[in-house]
Amino acid sequence: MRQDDISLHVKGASKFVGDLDVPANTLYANVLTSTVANGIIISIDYSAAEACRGVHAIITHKDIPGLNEIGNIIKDEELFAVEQVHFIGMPIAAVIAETDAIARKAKNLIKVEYEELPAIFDPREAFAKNSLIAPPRIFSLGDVNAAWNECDFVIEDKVESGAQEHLYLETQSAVTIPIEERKFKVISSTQSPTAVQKTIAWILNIPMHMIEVEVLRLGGAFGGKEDQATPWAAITAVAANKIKRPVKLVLKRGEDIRQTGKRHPYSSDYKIGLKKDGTILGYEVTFYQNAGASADLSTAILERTLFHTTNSYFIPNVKATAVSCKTNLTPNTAYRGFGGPQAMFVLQSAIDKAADVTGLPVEDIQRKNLIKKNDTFPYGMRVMDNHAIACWDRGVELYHYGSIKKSAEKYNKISHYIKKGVSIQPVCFGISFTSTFLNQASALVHVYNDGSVLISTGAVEMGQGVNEKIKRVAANVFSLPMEMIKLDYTNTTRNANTSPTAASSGADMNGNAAKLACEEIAARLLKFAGKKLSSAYEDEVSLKNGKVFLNETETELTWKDLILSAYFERINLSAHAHYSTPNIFFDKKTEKGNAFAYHVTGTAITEVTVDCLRGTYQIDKVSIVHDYGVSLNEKIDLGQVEGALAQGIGWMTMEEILHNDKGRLTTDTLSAYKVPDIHSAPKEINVDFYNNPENSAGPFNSKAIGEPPFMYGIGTYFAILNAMKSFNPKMDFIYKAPMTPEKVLMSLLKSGGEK
Amino acid sequence: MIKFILNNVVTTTEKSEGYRVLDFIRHDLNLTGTKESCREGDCGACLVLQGRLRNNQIYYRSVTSCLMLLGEIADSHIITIEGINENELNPIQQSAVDQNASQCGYCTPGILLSITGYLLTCKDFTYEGIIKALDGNICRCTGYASIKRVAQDLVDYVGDRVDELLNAENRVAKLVEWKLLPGYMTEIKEKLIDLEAALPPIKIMEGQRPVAGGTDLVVQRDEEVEDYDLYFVNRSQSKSKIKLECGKIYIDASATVTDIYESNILKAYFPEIERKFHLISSTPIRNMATLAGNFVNASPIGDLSIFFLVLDAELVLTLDGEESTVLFKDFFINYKIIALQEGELLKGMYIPLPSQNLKMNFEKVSKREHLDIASVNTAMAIETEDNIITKIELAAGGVAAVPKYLPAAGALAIGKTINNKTVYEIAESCVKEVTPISDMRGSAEYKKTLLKNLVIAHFIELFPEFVSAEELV
Repeated sequence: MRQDDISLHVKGASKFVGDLDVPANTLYANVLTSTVANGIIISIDYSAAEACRGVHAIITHKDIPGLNEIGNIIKDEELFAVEQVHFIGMPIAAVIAETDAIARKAKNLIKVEYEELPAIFDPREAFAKNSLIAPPRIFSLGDVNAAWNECDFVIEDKVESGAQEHLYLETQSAVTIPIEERKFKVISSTQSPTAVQKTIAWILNIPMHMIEVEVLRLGGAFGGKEDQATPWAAITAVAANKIKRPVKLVLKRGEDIRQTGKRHPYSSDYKIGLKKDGTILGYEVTFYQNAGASADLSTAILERTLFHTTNSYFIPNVKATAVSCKTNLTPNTAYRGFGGPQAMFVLQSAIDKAADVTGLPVEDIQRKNLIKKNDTFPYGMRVMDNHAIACWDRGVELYHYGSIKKSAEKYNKISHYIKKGVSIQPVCFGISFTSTFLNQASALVHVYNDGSVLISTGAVEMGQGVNEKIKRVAANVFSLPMEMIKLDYTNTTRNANTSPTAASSGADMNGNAAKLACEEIAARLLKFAGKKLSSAYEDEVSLKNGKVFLNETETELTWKDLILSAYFERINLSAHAHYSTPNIFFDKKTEKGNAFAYHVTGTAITEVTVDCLRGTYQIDKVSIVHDYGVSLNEKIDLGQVEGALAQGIGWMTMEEILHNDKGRLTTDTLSAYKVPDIHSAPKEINVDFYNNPENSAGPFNSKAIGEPPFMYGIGTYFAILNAMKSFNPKMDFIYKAPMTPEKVLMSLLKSGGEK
Repeated sequence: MIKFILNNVVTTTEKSEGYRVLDFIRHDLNLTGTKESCREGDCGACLVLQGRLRNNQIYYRSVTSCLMLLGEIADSHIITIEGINENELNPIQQSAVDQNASQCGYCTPGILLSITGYLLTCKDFTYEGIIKALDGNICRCTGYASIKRVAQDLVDYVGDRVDELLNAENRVAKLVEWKLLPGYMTEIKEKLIDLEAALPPIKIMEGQRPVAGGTDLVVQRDEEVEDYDLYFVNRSQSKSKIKLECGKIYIDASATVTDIYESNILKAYFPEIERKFHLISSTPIRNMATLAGNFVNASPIGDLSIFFLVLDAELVLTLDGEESTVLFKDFFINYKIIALQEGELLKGMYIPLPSQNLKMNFEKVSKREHLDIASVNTAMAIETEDNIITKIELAAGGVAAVPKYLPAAGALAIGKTINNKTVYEIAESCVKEVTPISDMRGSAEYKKTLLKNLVIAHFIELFPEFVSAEELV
């Protein structure tokens, strides 16, 4: 019977941290967090909580033997607040009790007095007050100031996009089990087992080799468990270190939404210049990123915003300035797309407005400016192929864009307040961590002497199918059925110094590492098989379908026999391999370099229907051409495209994060924060895979797929806007996402003349 | 002691009646296939099926175990994901694997149970029906496309045997025969009959808090509810919850939204129910939430309240065995203050049979169309003669401290001919009667604008021949 993740999922048999059997003496943690956005802690009264039956300890910064620090890129974030709190939801202490319920009840009895300080929530206000995470960065190409004079049209505007809650269905969770003295095993729902290990090491002031971090799988992550799984694991470790008992922490949904960061909201200013024929000559943009109260991954995310400033378009003169603004919100963090979507939304808004101003069809401006082979990105890298244009043209032809547009126009002439809208959204997304050192991975492969294969890599399975893809890689190398291969849980003792499973790179890098390890074992086996089959040359021997072939002819020797006899001959049946992505570099001084192994491109055509009386809409169809190289698993890749699209649509339409004027999140429940359901997802999604075999950076010419399709969702915003314009062409529209039904209705009424 | 059947095992517990079924399944029985995610009925990760005996038949329904208290499942059958597993994957599970319809896997058990629940309960069997049955399940990974393919696979699997399924004398046995349910399911009815015989009758005691579905109570009183002394309205239910009585329709307080949605009586008189009740919460919540719960909770945005406010309904209340009545219009006094005395219970509701020419329309706009709380909802019931308004009732939610009955607009409209001008005046008048506040469901200005447009929508929907959208919108 299959033992892969999905076969377990459908039986409810797959386990997540919250499902694990833990030792009977396990205690439970609940975290006391700040209720003010910025304030000095005057006093804390723990007495009532300590007096509760079942409470074992209350841990604070005083129980940290090492550094009270969880900042990864910049060391600016305390695990537990010492003197001052910087956002609502910042951890101050944790109650450790017999049960989760007792810990929570006791936590509610703790009284904290604050001296409240003025707080900043708006990134522009933070910028004005010089409250920054890091100095601004600028990417530039050509001379944007000289370009304006050559333009027939120069348009300026402001664009805003909102935060987004990850809403992984499994909340943040971890358990730490003390093994012997200061040796700990941590089971964490994290995308970054090494970050958890490293951070706990400095917090407990012990070497990393004292901490084993294991990850079974994640019930969704989407970036939300890249850096922000760490504090919860660290809290259990501090408690376990103090009490010498296992400690478990599983956040309730409301706690999770309130206490963890989101996709960064951005407020941006742009200036775009075009010639009469629609050629874009210049683009100047300033991104104000709302980072929240500490750095987290904000600077890396901002960097990717800069990388994707021009998306799929070639613009000869660009100046992009990016500022990470420090505010008193929960530190924002990685989320699928990692700053790319925010940049692409600004540019699409600029092009949309340019179409209105110039009177040119928006798709003509888009098509005219798509990147071609040998064009230069603002960061100096050359465009390697013509896939952006190929995907666009294929989409337009395959899905009959011309007739879609015509029939929408025809419909809108007859229908008064129900309007159809269409849009085309191209996407070009760079693959690799933009911090070059992260582009490494490792894999440990064992062939057991019954012939079964176990693979462990640094990749974390979170539903993206990385285990199945790596299994495919191994199955290809060994030419074995998939059932013979199993992916083990991710564990820091099997693979060290791993990079987070992020940046869409999990299958690429870990798959390549697994490929190298499998190839090493296969080489030993072939050499041995050559000897065994009395062939002088190992290159005459090959593995095929569980059999050994000699000169392309099947022999009697099966995989299982080969393995067993190799074992008796004392051949090493294990291998560990390391992979580092070749030919990538980036110089932050000049802001130029070959930052990416390759780009993923594609195009989405979106069709919507908007009810301009009620302000509501439905997404009728999204038709995509997506460049996926040669897929390792088409069903997984299809699922990634469809799922990312729905999340992107959610970000652009109904997902709205709101705070009150004190900085308290008001959309902290699923009854208030809405994500797409089965009815609001597109009625129809078509995905055409643009198959191309050129990508040597992905295992077996595959391509990364996790993030790029998220940005197809941007097309939904502009399709809705397109329909709205047909109802009210004079609408004075403010480019701000999300496009909620409120935004639709109130925008339709805003115009020079009464409508 | 609470006794029920969990999958194929008769289970007893001494836990409090207010203890969450989800916690019992996960923590006390260590059946971890049922997941906790939102704990407020908004995601379906904890969805299970509940079967109850009614007239010697088991009626199954999907419910969210996070909002369900142990007292609600006494004497019933609960099916978790573990309870549909057999040695081989069943055809739905196999399809989910083949279609890659499970990515992270966390929502999967709930999704598969929703589909199984549909098979057990459906009155018609269609692809659209399966999709609707999934309106209470959130999946963050798949974008639902692969889940829709599973629905299509199931439709193909049943193929031309739809009538065989729908007309089966024993649906459970048929589904077992088709490998869609495990074999033990055919024995549950007998076990349940044995279980129910053992039950003492239950009456409300002094100091007890009534629970009628509890879908909001449990969210609002998350931590306290376990310690309450509870009286479960559903356990003393009357035989028929919706009936014709002395020229009126009677709806029992314990009728669930699903009971109302599926009632043939109501369907015949108020077709708007069948058209619009899919907009009210989700399948599992409709299966639990009751008329009484919705009214007494007095949410200013309660969908049922708005719907029935325009139907001249009268509520029956009981206090110490004494019955009294109150007009539903007079029931909501101020924010969460209702015309119900301490100790008094809502027993049911009478609706007069509508006149032949009554027309009704219900509108609701929320951020997400399904399983969401409205920004504004509104209902209109109207009677006309020769296009002249003879009677009109309007109500709106989300625009005041209470579900708002709007008498002024009605008074203004009587005797007027339906045309653009009249409609516009009525819409404007409605807006004047309301006092919305700005909150996460929209700004006050938006809610006023929306109400105006939705009142216009009532007329566009009901009288397209007399009003012109071109001029009104």
